[in-house]
Amino acid sequence: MIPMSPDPEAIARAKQILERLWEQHKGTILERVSALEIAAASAPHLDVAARQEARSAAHKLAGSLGTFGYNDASDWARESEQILEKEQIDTADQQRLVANAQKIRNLLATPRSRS
Amino acid sequence: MTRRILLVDDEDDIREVAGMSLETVAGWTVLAASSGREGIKIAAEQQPDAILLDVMMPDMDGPTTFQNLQNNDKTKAIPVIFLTAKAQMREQRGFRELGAQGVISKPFDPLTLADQISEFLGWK
Repeated sequence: MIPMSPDPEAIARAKQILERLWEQHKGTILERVSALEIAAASAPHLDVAARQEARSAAHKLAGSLGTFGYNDASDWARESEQILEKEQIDTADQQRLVANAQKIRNLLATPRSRS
Repeated sequence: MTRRILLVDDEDDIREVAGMSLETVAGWTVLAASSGREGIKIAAEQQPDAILLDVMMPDMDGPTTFQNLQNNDKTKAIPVIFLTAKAQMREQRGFRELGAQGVISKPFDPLTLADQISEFLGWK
């Protein structure tokens, strides 16, 4: 891809605004992580509605977290979404869901270092 | 050249980050809609240069919104780029066959989003 000769000042300003937007939306994102944690704790006994809600939370997290620079967390959320799409969630899947939610929670608790 | 882009996405954070990116990094004017129906209305009224359209939205999803845009004389010539989850990128060919100009995966890098759009639309 040929870059559009980006203006360094514009890039710096965009990074600053991105940090502000992160702070603004962090609460909603953490609520989605909570939804994933709750679903993970009760998988594989989720009913259809609860599973759909958890899948939606995972889907949104995957998109949002990566866009805010949390690429690993985005991948964990994406993996959780794929597990929640399976017909049967077994014990190994549940452990994966719990672990992924925990890893996302832990990563978001560390200071941001987007360069 | 200043471009006018319509973003259609039901997620506030994605819409705001993409909008900020296109305005701040590229200097484009951004219009925003949080649903397919709103997007169709704004597209017909405002005639943006292009539309960035999320695939997975409640009520009216991206492909259905796209079909509505294509069936409307006021909006059928506006180029559309789909915004979709990485896992759905396998459907990319299908989106292209529908008539979309390109597909951008979520998550996207806000600092290079305008580059990606420009590349698809030949705005270099």
